[in-house]
Amino acid sequence: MLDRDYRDIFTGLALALIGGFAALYAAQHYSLGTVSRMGPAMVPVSLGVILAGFGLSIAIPGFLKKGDAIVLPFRPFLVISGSILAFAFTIETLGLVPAVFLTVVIATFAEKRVPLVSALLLGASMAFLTWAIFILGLGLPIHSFDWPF
Amino acid sequence: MELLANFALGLETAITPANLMYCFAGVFLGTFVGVIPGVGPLAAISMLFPITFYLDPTAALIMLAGIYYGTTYGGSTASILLNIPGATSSAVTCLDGYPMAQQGRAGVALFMTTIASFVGGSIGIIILSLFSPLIAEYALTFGPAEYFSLMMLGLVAASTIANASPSKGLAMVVFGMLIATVGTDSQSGVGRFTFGSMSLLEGFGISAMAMGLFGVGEILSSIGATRSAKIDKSSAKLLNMLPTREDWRRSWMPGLRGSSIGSFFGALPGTGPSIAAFMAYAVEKHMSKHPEKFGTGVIEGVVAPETANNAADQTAFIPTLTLGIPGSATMALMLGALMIHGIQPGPTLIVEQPSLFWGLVMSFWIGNLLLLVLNLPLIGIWVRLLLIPYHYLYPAIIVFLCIGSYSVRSNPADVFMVLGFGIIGFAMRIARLPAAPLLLGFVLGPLVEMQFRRAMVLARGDVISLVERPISGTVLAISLALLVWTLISAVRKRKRDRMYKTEQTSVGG
Repeated sequence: MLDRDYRDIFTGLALALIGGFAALYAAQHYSLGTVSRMGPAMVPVSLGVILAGFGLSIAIPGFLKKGDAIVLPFRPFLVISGSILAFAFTIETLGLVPAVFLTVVIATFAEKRVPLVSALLLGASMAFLTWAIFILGLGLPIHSFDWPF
Repeated sequence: MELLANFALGLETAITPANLMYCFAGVFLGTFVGVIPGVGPLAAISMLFPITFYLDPTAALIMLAGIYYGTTYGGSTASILLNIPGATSSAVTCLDGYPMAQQGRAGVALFMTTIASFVGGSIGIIILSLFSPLIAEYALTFGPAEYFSLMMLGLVAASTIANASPSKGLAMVVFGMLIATVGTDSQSGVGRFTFGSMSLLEGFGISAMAMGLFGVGEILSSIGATRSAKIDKSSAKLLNMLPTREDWRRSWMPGLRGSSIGSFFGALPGTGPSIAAFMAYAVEKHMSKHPEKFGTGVIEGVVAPETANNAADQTAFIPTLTLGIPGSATMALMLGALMIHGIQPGPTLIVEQPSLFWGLVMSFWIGNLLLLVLNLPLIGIWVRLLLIPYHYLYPAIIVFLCIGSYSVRSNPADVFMVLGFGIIGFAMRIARLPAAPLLLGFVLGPLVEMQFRRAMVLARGDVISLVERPISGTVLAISLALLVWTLISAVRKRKRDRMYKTEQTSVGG
């Protein structure tokens, strides 16, 4: 137990900052107009102010109550992000089959218990399966293999 | 009979081989995903959303709808066999379904949930067919003020009813609406919050947002959550599945009551199948002569929530299709699918696109029938699916998310967008912010803004006019009452929790 609910404090302050920034930015860059003829800034400014208000209404009670400790599950997050990035970078340079293989093999590292051999096998079978479904079956305009060199 | 003519037209559309195939694919995939604990209908629909861009609007909707109500059929399987709900709407089914499985009656429970789902779904479809044309006809008299008020009610209801913290839900609705303002303003043509980037002029895509928030988000929260599936396979064999005469006799009244409760709550904004199932269970327990037996494996406790959640699945389409106002995040995705195909749902949809509307309604019948026929013999397959460890499933889901987002425009930037929303979803999970209101705000935001600006032009900037118009005023008053009521009960709950905590600490020393 923590003496303050830091989760709510940070969450609320972050939302208040986002809302405040959006309202200020819109007010400075776009025209506000009048209520009967609203300009492009009117709705974003109002929404930003309301969001900032809700943010504060979440943050302030956080100072008054106890909160539980925050656990950050970083390993799955980093590995899954990495596997999605791998797909984005390789789909056009290497083609679908290698991209899927890489994505699957990297993704398996998010859980500790997958042996490397099973990961490679899963990657290979997913690569074949997706090739069969998306290129053979649905005929999507994606290259199976591309050689960058 | 006009209704019969409409049914005939719908059947003509729904029964074409292509549409039948998409209906089948939808319900099959839906059941598949529903059985897997941790992946709900939102993740399933957002994952398969991009694939439907290639289909014609009717086929796309038939398939997405099939995935949606299919998950509710499949969700009960994991509830009964593992005591883990496959979909949140099946959570109540655990209460009596799992005890039945422990008594060796898993087969009976699975059989009855399938029948109950079919009955509930069918009654929901009848209500949908009867009421949609009436509501649409009435809604033709609505102006921008009425639409604005109805959308406000939908947003308030969806963000306050289902969530523990109403201020967090409301904050997410506003945040979603704010994200939706990114891109070209439809009235002035000014690019808002684009920061000079060309690709932001089109705004964010609904599929990227849904896939990031629900697909990537659900995987991140499910990884590491250990699941051990120990299933006695013999209990799910076809021979052990037939209910006794006594089971049937005790089930039909709870089934009818569950269907009515489900139909009602499904059509209301913000409620949907989960709350419907919960209410049906509570009512059944209240009406029973032996309420103390609930929770020990009584058949009524399985039948009532299962009819209710499937009836609610079907009637949830009423406000979405007749008014263009989705009551839940899932319906917001359906609305998004329609709009991507250039169809603006609203009261004119039934008249202008009769084959789409009635084709969709009739496909619900066919889908429910397919599920009935499929599910009884396929339960064995679903049981085996539960034995696949999650660490072999989630890499496959990641790959489908990537290919799905990439295939829309063959642009790797869309994959980055999914990752971006995945990071937002991850942060929201840590902050305990609900994701569904964000999506609802994102979809409804531009519509709310458009109707509000139109209403103000018509009323020459007189904000009071929104309250003075009878329908719009009433709806706004209901929204306000709902808002005040949830805020009061949230404060009360917090006080009660604090008192409870102080008692605990004083007792504990």
